[in-house]
Amino acid sequence: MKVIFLNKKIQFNLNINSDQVNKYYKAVDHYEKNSTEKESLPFLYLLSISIKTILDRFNFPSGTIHMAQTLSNLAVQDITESSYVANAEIIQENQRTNATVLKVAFNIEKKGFGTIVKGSTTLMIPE
Amino acid sequence: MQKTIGEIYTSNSIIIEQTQINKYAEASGDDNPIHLDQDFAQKSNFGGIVAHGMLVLAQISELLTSIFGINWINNGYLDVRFRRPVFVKDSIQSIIEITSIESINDKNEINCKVSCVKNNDESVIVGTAKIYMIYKELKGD
Repeated sequence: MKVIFLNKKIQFNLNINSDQVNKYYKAVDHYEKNSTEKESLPFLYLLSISIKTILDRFNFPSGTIHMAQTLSNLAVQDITESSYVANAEIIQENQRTNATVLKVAFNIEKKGFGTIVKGSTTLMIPE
Repeated sequence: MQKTIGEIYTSNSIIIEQTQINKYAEASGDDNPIHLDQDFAQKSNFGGIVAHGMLVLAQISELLTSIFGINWINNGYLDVRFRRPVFVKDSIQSIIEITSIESINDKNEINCKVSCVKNNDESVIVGTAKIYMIYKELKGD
C-alpha cells in the first residue's frame, strides 16, 4: 500500500554556526566577494540543510531525486551563531507509473524577525 | 554598474571533482550514497556518482552574487528545474541572461534566464531569477 504524504507538515530547528557555513563556502565558492557578501548567511545553505532534514524526517529513500526548486530570499542574515525555525508541508502529491512526485512548500523564520526564506521543493520518489 | 536587457553573463567552467562533492556533503549533511559511494551509485539508475543538485545550483547563485551583489542575497527569487545529473569530471558553466527590466515603485525588477550547462551543450539546470534593485543602483549613479 502506498504511503500518502499529502498535507503532512513538519517543523524543525536549524542551528547555524560559522564553522559549518565556512565549510559550505569552501565547497561552493568560486568568486571573490566583497565584505558584506562574505558576512552574509548563504540562503542556499539554509535551503540545503532544510532539504536534508525534510528527507530525513519524512523517511524518503536515498534514491529520492530533486526535480525542481523555487526560492525567495526575503532578508539578508549575518553569519552568527543563531537558530531558525523551518516549516514544511507537502502540498502536492502525484502518483506516476513508477514514482511519486511531491511538492513541499517551506518557509524559514527567525524568531522576532519573521520569514527570511520561502519556497518549494519538488521531489520524485522512485518505486 | 548599469544593467541592460540582453546582457549575458557566464561563469568560468569548472570540473566537478569528487573532493568538492565530499566537501559539500560534509557541509550540507547530505551524505546520500548516490553522491559518495561508487559501488552504490553504479548500481543506481544514474550508473555513477552524481553531484548534489544544490551544489550545482550554488554555482548559479554564485554567478548571480557576482553580478548583482547584495541585491541578489537580500531580495532575489529563483525558479529552476534540475534536468540532468552532473557526474564526477563533468565540466559545468553557469549562464545568466537579462530578459527584462521593469520599474515597480522605487525599485527595478530585473528578470533573468538562468541555466547551467555541462560539457558545453547539455542543460543540467534551467529556470528564471528575479532581482529587485533600487533605481540608483541599477543606473550606477
